[in-house]
Amino acid sequence: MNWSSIISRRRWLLAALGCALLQAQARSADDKLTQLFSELGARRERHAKFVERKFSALLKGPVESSGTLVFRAPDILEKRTVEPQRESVRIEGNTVTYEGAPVRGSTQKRTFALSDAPQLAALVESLRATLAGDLPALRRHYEVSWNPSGSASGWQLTLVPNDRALRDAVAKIEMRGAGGEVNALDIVEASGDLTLLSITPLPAPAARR
Amino acid sequence: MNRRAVRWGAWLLGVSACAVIVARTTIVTDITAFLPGPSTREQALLAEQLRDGVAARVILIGIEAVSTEQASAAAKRSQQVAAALRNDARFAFVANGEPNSFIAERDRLFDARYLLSAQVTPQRFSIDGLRTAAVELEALLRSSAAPLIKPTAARDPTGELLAIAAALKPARAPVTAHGVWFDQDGRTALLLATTRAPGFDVDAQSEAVAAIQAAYDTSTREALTLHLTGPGVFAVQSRQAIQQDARRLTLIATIAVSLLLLLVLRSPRFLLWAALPTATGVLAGLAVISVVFGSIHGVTLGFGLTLIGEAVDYAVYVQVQRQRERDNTYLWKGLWLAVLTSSAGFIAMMLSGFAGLVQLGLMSIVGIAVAATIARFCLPDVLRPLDPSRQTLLRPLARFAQRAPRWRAAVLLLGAASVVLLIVRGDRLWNDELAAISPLARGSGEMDARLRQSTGLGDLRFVLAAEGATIDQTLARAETLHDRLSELQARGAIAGFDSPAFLVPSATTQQTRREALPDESTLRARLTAALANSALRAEAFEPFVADVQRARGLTITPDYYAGTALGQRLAAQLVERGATSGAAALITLTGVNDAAAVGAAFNNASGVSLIDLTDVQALVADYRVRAAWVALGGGLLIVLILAVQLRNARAITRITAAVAVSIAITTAALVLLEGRLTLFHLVALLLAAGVGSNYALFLGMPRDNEPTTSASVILSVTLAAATTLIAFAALAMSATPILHMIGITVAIGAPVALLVSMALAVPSMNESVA
Repeated sequence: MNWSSIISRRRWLLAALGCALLQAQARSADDKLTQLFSELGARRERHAKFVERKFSALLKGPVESSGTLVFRAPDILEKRTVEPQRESVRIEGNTVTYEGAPVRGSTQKRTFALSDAPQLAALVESLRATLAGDLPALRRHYEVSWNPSGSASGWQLTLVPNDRALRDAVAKIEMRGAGGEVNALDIVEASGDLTLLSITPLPAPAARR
Repeated sequence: MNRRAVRWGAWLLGVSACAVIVARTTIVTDITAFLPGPSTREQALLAEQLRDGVAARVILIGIEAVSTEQASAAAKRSQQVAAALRNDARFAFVANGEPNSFIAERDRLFDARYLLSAQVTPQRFSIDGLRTAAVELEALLRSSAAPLIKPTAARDPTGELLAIAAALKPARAPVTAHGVWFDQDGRTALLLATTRAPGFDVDAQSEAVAAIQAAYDTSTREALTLHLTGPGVFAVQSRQAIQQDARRLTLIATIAVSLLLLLVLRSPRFLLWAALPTATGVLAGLAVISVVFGSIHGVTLGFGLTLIGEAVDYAVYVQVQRQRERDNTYLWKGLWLAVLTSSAGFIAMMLSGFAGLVQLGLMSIVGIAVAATIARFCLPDVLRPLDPSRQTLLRPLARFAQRAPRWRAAVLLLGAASVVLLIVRGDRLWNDELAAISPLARGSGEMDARLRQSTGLGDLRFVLAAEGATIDQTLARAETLHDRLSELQARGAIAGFDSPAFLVPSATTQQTRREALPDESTLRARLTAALANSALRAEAFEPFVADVQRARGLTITPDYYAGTALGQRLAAQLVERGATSGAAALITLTGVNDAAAVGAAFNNASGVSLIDLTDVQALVADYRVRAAWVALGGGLLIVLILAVQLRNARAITRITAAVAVSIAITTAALVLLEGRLTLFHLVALLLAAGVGSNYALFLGMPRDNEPTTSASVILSVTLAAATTLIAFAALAMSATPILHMIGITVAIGAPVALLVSMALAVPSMNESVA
């Protein structure tokens, strides 16, 4: 047995150790995700204010809208826009009820199946599955990674679409929060367009039982 | 002995040649060959649709899971089946609701949007029009619907794609779950496959059904059930039923007939040799059809086998009537006359104008002529005449026959009563619906109704045909109907309509739309002006400017959609018949709630006809008249042949009266038993007339050397009638309508013809020919 073989064995050992460390890190990221999602899933009902800012190559400047968000476990998500134009989207299970935005001059209400618009379904799920604490549902649509650049008190997730067709439209979604709250959701489109949603939790309306 | 060698050598040579020809023949199964030829434009269109229309080529596939929890397994299977069928050249179009399955179609429509959208007007592309569009687009981009709008917004700011989609959207579409179409109950995944082959090419449909089953079976087993429905599927199923029934009943009939012949003639040797003329006749008939028509129709083949019932009679006549050491002139003369009179019925069949019946008639004529020839020349070589002792045992039969002429008056009265019955029934005699042969006969069963309902195909029944000299003229005519159809839709009379002019507007319309599109610099300037006070950036819409310029040089023809599902849809909706017969554009109407209102709306429109695909009645309106001519022609031909051959007015009268009366009584009995008569009853009646004319001929033919019909003749005819009765009574027991109809008609016709011929045709002792 000569020295070089000992060294090479050491290298091998080092490599193995490195792998083990990486795996441990990955496991710890996975553990963190699991813990975060169980924390998220603990809240059965949420109310929040939102401000949405859109940056698009089609627009001269950013446009802003605001309103409220309601989530009820397991699968109801409602987005009511108040400013600048009234609009509401309510998603319950697979059913989308859309009311508001005037098309051809008249306001409209329409209902359709979420599964009829698979790309929209993926976008909805990024928020709904997260709020529901449903990690498997989120992973059906996205590669979910724990972003270590999150601040000490908060967390940050990066979602990359699994579906190629969706990836052609949406490059990634960044989500930030603290504890069991989601504070921001940024959609980065492949074209460079951005949609920034900032969310401020509200206490549940006290009058409601 | 030398002559004998020549006879058998000729037989062997002939049989070998026929066998070679028949073995190479293809069997076709297009049942429309048995539909009457159309005589009006609507009928021609209907016949075309029944043959080649999309309605006849659709196969609905349901994959049912036990519970909604299992639905995702059904969805996965649906995707697998669809993927397999899309790679199968036998299918023109496969849809299961998968979102990415129509990318090619969407792209074609998108690229052609400025020629397809009814919104394209000069006003739309003015500064004001563009400003209105910009306000809407901005609102949409601000809204939550933005992700749906954005991918196409820079190219299509005026939203033409949405306008086209609204026009092309089916009135009723299945619900989507797990990425594919599902039934209302959420358990049954739905697929829709259109075959390339017409619905009534049963062989091709059978292959298509097998391909679907194979695609379904390749995946692992789950608790799923496959359901298939559609006209082609029914055709395949009913053919299978016919084949099984025919095989089973033929076996029963063969055994029963053999037992009877053995019992009466006590000669196993005869039984074996009797098959010779029969088999040779059938083989020769098939070979001639094959040479003349190039292929044999499946139905001809099936009917042709019933020829056995008649051909075996010739062996019986020869064997029972032939006498050793005596002159058999009358036997041979009778045999030829029998062939001729039977042929008269079949010639009538050939003159009917139904392609399938022409084949059938020719095959029957050749078959019986060959069978009689073999019976005449070959059987005496191998069979000894019947032992006279067998004949003495049958004296009671002879006595019965000799007493029969006493019932002449009664039989004639019965015949007259039958004619009266048929005249009284008149219009109600024929079943014009012809449900048994209607290609669009709806499948029974809940599953069919459910699948049709869920896919929105339930009422693929009314088609509006706009006709013209060229495709473009028909499209222009179709366009003039759109407003009226939209109005009917708004009133709820129809749920929706699908016009080929949505996909290919007429040349004039395309020209008008192209002219509405401004040139590049004009459009750019107007866009900049329109967006001056908008949140939208004019520069971002350069792709729009470019697309509008491209559209200015575009012309849409049906070929534009080649290779896509839209191309398939157009091919079914645009009928081109060549320079002289013009063309037709077919607008399919869905969810017709008020057929009367639809009919009224298009009553006076010239060049437009409303076709009800289930109304086969229209197709067979003059069916009765033709049937009557066929029957009359056949009867006259029989009289003519007898007149030429017998030259004996009394005998001719006796024989023709017997044939006419027995047909009248048989038809009346059929009407009483079966209600209304169909094409298949008619064909079988001609067969019964052929057999019956033989009985009348043998019993009524004057013979110089005998005062009246001999016991051996009576025995042979009775035996022939008995074997025919047994064979066709077996067929009559079939649950398959076609087999039942043929069976019951001949099973009644044979004994009636025997009894009537005994009463009317046999010369009585006192009027024996001097």
